[in-house]
Amino acid sequence: MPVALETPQTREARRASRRWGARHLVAAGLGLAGIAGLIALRATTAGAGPAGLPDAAQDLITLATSVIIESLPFIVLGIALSILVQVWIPEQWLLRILPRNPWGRRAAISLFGMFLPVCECGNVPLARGIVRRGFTVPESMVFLLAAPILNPVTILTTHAAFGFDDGILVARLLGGFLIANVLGWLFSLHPEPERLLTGRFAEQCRIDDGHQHGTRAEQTIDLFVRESSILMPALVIGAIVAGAVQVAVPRDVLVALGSDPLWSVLAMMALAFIISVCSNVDAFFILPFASTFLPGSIVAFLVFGPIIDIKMLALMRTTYAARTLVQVTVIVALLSAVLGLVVNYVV
Amino acid sequence: MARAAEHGRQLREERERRRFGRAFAWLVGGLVMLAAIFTVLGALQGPKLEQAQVDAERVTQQSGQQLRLFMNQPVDAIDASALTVEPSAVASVSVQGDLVVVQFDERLRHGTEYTVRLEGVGAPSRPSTSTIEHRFTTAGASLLYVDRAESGDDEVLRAAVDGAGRGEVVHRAPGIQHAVPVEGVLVVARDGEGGTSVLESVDARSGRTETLRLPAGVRVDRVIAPGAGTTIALVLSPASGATGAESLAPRTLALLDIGGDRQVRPLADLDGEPLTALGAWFLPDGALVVHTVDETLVRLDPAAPEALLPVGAYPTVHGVSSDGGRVSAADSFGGVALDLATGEEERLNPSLVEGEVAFAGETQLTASGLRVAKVAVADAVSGAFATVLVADDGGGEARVIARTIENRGSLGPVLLSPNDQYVVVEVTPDVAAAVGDGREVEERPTSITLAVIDLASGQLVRTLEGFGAVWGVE
Repeated sequence: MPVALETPQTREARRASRRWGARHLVAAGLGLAGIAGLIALRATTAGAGPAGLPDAAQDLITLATSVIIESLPFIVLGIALSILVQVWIPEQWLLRILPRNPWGRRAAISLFGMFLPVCECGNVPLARGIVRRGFTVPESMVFLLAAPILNPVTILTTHAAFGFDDGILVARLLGGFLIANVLGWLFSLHPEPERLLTGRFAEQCRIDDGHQHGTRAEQTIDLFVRESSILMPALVIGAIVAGAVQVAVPRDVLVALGSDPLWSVLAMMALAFIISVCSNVDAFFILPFASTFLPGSIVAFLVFGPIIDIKMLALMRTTYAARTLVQVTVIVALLSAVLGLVVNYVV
Repeated sequence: MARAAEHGRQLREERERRRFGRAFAWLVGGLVMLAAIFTVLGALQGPKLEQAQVDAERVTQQSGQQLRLFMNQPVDAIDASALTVEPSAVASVSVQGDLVVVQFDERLRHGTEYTVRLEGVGAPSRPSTSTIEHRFTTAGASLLYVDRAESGDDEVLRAAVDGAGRGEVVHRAPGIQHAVPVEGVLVVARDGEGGTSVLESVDARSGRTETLRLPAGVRVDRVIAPGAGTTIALVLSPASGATGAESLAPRTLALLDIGGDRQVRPLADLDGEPLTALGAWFLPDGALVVHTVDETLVRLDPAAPEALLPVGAYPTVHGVSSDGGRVSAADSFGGVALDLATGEEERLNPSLVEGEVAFAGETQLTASGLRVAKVAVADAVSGAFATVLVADDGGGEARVIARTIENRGSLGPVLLSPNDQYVVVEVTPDVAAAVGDGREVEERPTSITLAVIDLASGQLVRTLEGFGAVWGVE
C-alpha cells in the first residue's frame, strides 16, 4: 500500500489555501449579512413614521436597498456563468482559431469576454493566464480592458437598466472595444513588453495555478465563494455610496453638475473611480443618476469604471508596472471623456 | 565587434522607445484636442428633445390631453409666452425635471399636423438655451353608423370622414336597431321576437358575438355609451307584442357594465320608483345627466346611482355640450343653456337667418359657445316654412350650414364631433317621396342619409347612406 508523504512545501501551500478560503468565506458572509441587514432595516423602519429614522436615513436605506434588489439576481447569474466558463468549459476551446494579423487578433481577443462573462475583478487572473499561454502583454491588456464591458452579463444588465435609450448601451460596447484596441495598438509599439509587467507576476501566476486544483465540484464551490466574497461587499458598499451621494448632495447641485457637458462627464468618471463598483452591476448603480446627468456622463461612467478604479488599479498592480498603469489610466481617462463628450453632443 | 553590435542594439531600442513615446504623446495630444473641441461644442448647445409622446386619438376627443417632451437633461421652468402651437390651440406648459409637459386645454382638430415650439429652453446653471420643436399629426375622424338592408342582414360600418365609399363593414346582423362602440367592443341592439330587442356585444378584433341578457320582453329604446369605461346606459320599455314580459316601466333607465358582471340594473328615482328617462348623456367625468319622463333634469354617478342630484326642470333637453359643461334645453319661452357647474341659465335667442326670423328647434352647443341648431324659417317666396341647420354665435345673424334641396326634405338628429370640428345630421332628402323601412323599432326612411359638415367652413365633406351615427377616430 503506497504511503502519501506531505512535504513542507505542500503543507504550507495547503495552509495558505485554507487561509485564502477562510478570508473569502468571511468576506462573502459579511456581504450577505450586509444585504440582509439593509433589507431588514428597510422593512422594520419604513412603517415607523416620525418615530423612526430621520428622513435622510430612510431615503438612504430605500435607495441602497433598491439598487441591491435590482442588481442581486444579475450578480448571481454572473457568478454562475463565470463558474460555468472557468470550470466546465475546456481552456483551449477559446484559443483555437485567432487571426494572425495583429489588429484582427487583438479585435478577436477583445471579444473573449463574450465567452468569459466575469466582471473585471475576475479578469485579472484570467489575463495573467493568457500571458502564461503565450499571448503578448498588449494582447493580455486588450482582454483585460475589453472583457468587463464586452461580456454577456454586462450587456444584459446594461440593457435591463437603460434599454437602447440615448445610445448608452451601444456607446458603452463600442467604447469598450475602441479603448481596448487603441491601448493594445499603443503598447504593441513598446520595444520591451516585459518591462510593462511587474517582477511579482510569476509569483502571482503560481498562486493562481494553486487554485485550479481539485475536483470540478470543489473548484465550483471555491469560485462561488471567491466571486461572492468580492462582489457582495462591493455591492453593499456601492449601494450605500450611491444612496448617500443622492441624499447628501443637494439636488440642485447634482442637477447643475449633471447638466453641464464637461463637468457631468468628469464627475461621473471620478465617481466611478472612487466607488469601484463591478461592471456586472454598475448599470443598476448609476441608473438613479440617469435623470439628472447627461447621457454622455453615464457612458463615461460605464466605460471608465470597469477599466480604471481604485480596486482595479490595486488588482492590476499585481501584474503591470506602475509606469504602465499611469499610461493606461491617462489614455483610458481621455478616451472615456471624449466618448462622453461626443455622446453628450450627438444624443 | 561585439561592442558595435551592442551599440547598434541599444540604438535600435532607443529608436523604438522614442517611437512608443511619440505615439503616446500624439495620442494624448489628439485626445485632448478632441475633448476640447467637443467641450466647446457642448457648451454652445442647449437642452435637446429625446422623445415625445402624445395620444393622437384622445387629443381630438378630450381636453386636457398632454404632449410629453422628454429632454436629454433637466430644464428650467418655461414661461407660457415661450410656447406656440400651430395651428393655434389653447395650451399650457409645465416642467418636471427633464420632462416638459404641454397640456392642450381644448380638443385638437382631426387629421391636422400640429407644430409645438418652445423658445429659450435652458438648463439650470447654464447659459445656453435651445428651441424645441415637435410636430405631430392628429388622428382623422371616423363615423360608426347603421345601414339597413331591404332584405338580408343590416350592417354597421365605420367610415373615415375624409374617405370615400361606404366605409368598412364592422358587423352584420339582421334587424339592427342601435350600435355603439364601447372600449373595443361594439354593443348592438337588434330585433327580437314580438317587438323585443336582443342585446349583443361584438368583439372588435375577433368578431365574436355574445348575448347580453336583458329582462324578458323588453325593447331597447336607447343605448348610451360613455366616453371612457365599460358601463353603458340603456333606456328600456316593455315590448307591446311580447309575451311573458318582466315588470318594467316604459322608458326605464338601466346600467349595464359590459366589462363587469354584465347584469342589467334598472335605476330608481328619489322616491324609490323606477327612474324613467326621455334621454341621458354621459359627461366627460363619467357622470350621467338624465332627462326624466316627468321633465326634470338629474345628475347621477353611475358608481353610486342611488344619489340623484336634480339640476333643473325642462320639457325638452337637446343634449350636453361637447365639453360637458352646459346642457341645451328648451322650455315654453324658448331655448336655454344651463351651466352644470354654476346652475346659471342663458336664454338662447335664435339669430336671424338670411334676414328672416327663425324658430329654433334642436340645438347643440359647442365648447366655445357656438350653437348648432335646426331652425324653421319662412320661405320669402312661398311663405312655407323650411328647416335648415345653422351655426349661430348669438351675434344676430346665423350662418346656414345645411338645408335640403328645394327644402323638400327634413333634418333629423344632429351630432357634433367631440372636438366640435364636424357636425353630422340625418337627412331625409324628400319627405313626400320617403318610404319607411317598416321596422317596428327605430323606423327610418329608406332614403335616410348622413351628411357630415365641416363646422368652420360649412363645407359638406361626406355623405353616407344610413343613420345612428356615433363619432370615433380612424
